[in-house]
Amino acid sequence: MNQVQAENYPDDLVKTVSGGQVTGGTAAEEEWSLVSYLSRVNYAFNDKYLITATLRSDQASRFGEGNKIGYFPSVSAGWRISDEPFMKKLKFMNEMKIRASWGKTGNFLIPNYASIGLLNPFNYVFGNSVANGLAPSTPSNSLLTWEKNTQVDIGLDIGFLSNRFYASFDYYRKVTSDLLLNVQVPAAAGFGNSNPLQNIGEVENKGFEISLSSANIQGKFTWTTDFNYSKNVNEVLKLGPSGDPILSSGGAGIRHITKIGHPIGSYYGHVVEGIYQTTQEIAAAPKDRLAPKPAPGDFKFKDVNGDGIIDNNDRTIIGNYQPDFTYGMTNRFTYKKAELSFLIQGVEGSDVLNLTRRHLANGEANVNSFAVVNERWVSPTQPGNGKIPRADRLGDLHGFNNRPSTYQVEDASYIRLRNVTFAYTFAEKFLGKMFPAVRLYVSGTNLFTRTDYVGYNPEVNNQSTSTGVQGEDYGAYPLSRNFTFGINATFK
Amino acid sequence: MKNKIASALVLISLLSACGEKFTDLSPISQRNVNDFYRDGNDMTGAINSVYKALHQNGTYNQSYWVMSEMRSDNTDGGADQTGLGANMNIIDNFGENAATAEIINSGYLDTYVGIGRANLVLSRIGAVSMDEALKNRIKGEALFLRSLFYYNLAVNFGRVPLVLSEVSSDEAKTYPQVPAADIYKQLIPDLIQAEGLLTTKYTGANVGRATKGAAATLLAKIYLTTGDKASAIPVLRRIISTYGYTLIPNYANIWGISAKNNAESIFEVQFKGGGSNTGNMFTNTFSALLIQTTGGYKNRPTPDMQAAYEVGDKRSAISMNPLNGPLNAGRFILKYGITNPFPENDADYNFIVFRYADVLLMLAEALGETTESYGLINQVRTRAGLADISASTSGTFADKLLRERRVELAFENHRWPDLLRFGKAKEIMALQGKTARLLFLIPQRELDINSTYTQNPE
Repeated sequence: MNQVQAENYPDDLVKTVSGGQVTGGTAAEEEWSLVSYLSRVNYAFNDKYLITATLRSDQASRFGEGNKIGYFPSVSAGWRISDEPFMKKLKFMNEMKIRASWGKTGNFLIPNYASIGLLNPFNYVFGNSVANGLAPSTPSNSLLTWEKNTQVDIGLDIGFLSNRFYASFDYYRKVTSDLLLNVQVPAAAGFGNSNPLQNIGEVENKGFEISLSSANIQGKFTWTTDFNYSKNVNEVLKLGPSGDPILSSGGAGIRHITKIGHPIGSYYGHVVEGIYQTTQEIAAAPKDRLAPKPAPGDFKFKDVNGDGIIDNNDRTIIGNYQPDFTYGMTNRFTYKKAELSFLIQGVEGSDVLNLTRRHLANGEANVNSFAVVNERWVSPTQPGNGKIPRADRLGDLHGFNNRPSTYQVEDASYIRLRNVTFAYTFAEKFLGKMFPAVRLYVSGTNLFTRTDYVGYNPEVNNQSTSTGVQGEDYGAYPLSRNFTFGINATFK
Repeated sequence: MKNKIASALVLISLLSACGEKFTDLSPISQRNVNDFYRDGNDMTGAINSVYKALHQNGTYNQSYWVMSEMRSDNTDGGADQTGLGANMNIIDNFGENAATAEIINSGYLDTYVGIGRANLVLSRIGAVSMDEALKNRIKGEALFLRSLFYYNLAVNFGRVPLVLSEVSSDEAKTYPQVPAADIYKQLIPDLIQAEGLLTTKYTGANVGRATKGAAATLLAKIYLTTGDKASAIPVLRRIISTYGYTLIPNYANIWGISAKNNAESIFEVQFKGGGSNTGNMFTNTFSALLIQTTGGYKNRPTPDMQAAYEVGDKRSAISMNPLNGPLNAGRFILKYGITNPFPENDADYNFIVFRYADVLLMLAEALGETTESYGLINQVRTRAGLADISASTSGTFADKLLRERRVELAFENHRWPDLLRFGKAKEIMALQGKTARLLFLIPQRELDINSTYTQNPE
């Protein structure tokens, strides 16, 4: 990537850099390479027993010396039971197949030079003139290597009545080992507040998926339904030699924790127990080390470890982005040349860390606020809805209501009418022979969402590319609602 | 089929060997550690980057004066009670917590950045073939700077990990917190070695590098900190007799853009304003006459500080503008300049870490109450236009010495370590109505990373 910058344009006649005074520029080039070898064996007997085995090796430039190569084998087998003689009698069942697979895959989606310490200029002054200094700004990590996924999958496909009703069931377990995660390094390593990539730990994802499709009504009027449901459980199994949890910063300081036995990147903070109504209540509560002077209207935070003091040791896991389950359903109706379909889709049980609440729900009105802030605590006689504190977000000598807490975690379950499409295909004779096929359609996407989430979009994930800090909303764009009108015409 | 699988495997292993070079890619547009540290030029760049750590927000540009002056009875956070001003006032009042005290946390982190860079120099320089004299000087500089950083950590945080070589992130996690006494035990031989390796004086483009005098002054300070006064005496006498420092006749001429690296200065942080990213931040921060986009001026001398100057002490009007003084209605520091032709946070004034007056007063401290000690104190007092003191002057020797250090070295990051060394921190801060915490809190970040680390008492 190269860039040149120019300033002080005398006029706007020339709009390229030649028109101004060139004040700076950079030329940056990066490269990466991957050498892969792949071999595959397919074997099918009588179309009933199917076996595929593959082995690939990948050697990626991004990893450390001696740790660049990964080997990824896989085996899959299928048995079409419905082709066995003993199944032929079951006429209503036209297809039945059992599938099983085991395989390893690798992930090398990291920056090109993540394993090499890069030097930056750190210039000082001697003899009253600037002297060049150079030091690494990122730590070297020659141990950096492939993240590996080992997945086992068992599935069953069944089709009834000439596939009028078709069902698939899958159970899987995927273990990600040598997990590539940004890990905070101790200050003593000499890299300040940096969090370089390390291979650390093991994470398990296991769950099942069901998909059903059914032709409910056939004939002139048809109605088909496709339904899917999936459930996944994410759990951290191992972390580094010591097993210490890893805390991660997302958009606003430390708010995520990756801890053995819990989902990766769970939200981490204090638990709001309620709102102090009186000074007596404050006096009776555990002393809050993080906010020496709370007042009525401030949050009462929970003494999680029960030591009679509220401090950093009372931070705990307060939610995660992983849904309990997700589902979707498409219905399609046709009558003669008309066609109507709609897709409903939903997520249940996921939480979003809504960091915009730090600003839009702190009550100080230095920016616009959520409407619910109208129901904040104002005075003992106007206590609001009991969920929103008084308008004061300051720390230390105040109540520090804005600390990382359950106040910023919201249930992001939703059900959404994702798509509705209506189409009509005109008969050939209707528009003459020149237009053998003309199809008109209208479709709308994201027409309706039912959710308790106060932000724009419960599906938000600001840092979707960084493992360990999933599920943040820090000013993400809303989802657009689209209406499309279209004509498909074929000319002869 | 077996044969096919076998031949596929053989093919893979053969080709993998060919690909080895193909995936050995060095960064193209950025220097990297594997290709650097080859010769004297590279090692000079490396040692210069250690000095650069003195410029960090977490060291002399901000955290150190917050921790050494504002924390003490000398200064406060200023009138501004919002934003940065609010954070500083919390620290001034011993009210900060380990999770949110950014200034203290960066003091810890940035100090280790300096230590890490010094360790890198010391770990790599042995294998580099280069001019021996230059190699020795760079080793000495790295040892001195690392000791200076560790001294600041030990005084302020007490128990910290002691890392003495280039380490990986994983290795760094295995270092336990060790008591300050163990840190000092390491620094003493390091500084003796540094004093041997370094030069007495530099000229031209090397002015500002660490000298024998700098290493010796820090060594003496550490002896005093550990209570080993007897060992401090010969070191301090050596500085006085052989390294050629003098008291600048006029106290006002110790600071200023034209007074950089003068005959009294032993070690100073070099700054240069004018857009080269080497200017200081504090001149603007301290001066009531310059812009402060982050609120009012900070590190404001307390009424108690103003009152500490005796009548007729010339140092008072040179060091600070008093309340309703000639320059402005408020109290503020004058030593680091009150004008800056460059943008905010890019000023040209240096920061003196050690100077000769400190050495004279340290020798008095090491000797205890003797005629010679009063003579040393009186050298400093004479320049300030004050009458001599002696054993018959009222007050204990320690109180007289501490008071003299306070006014002579005001706003030079000596006060808080002095109060700790003299065992007076609790008592003096109580007079200000404050309950002193003797150690700063270890950043919560470090405790989160390493579950074996323990917090200092709150």
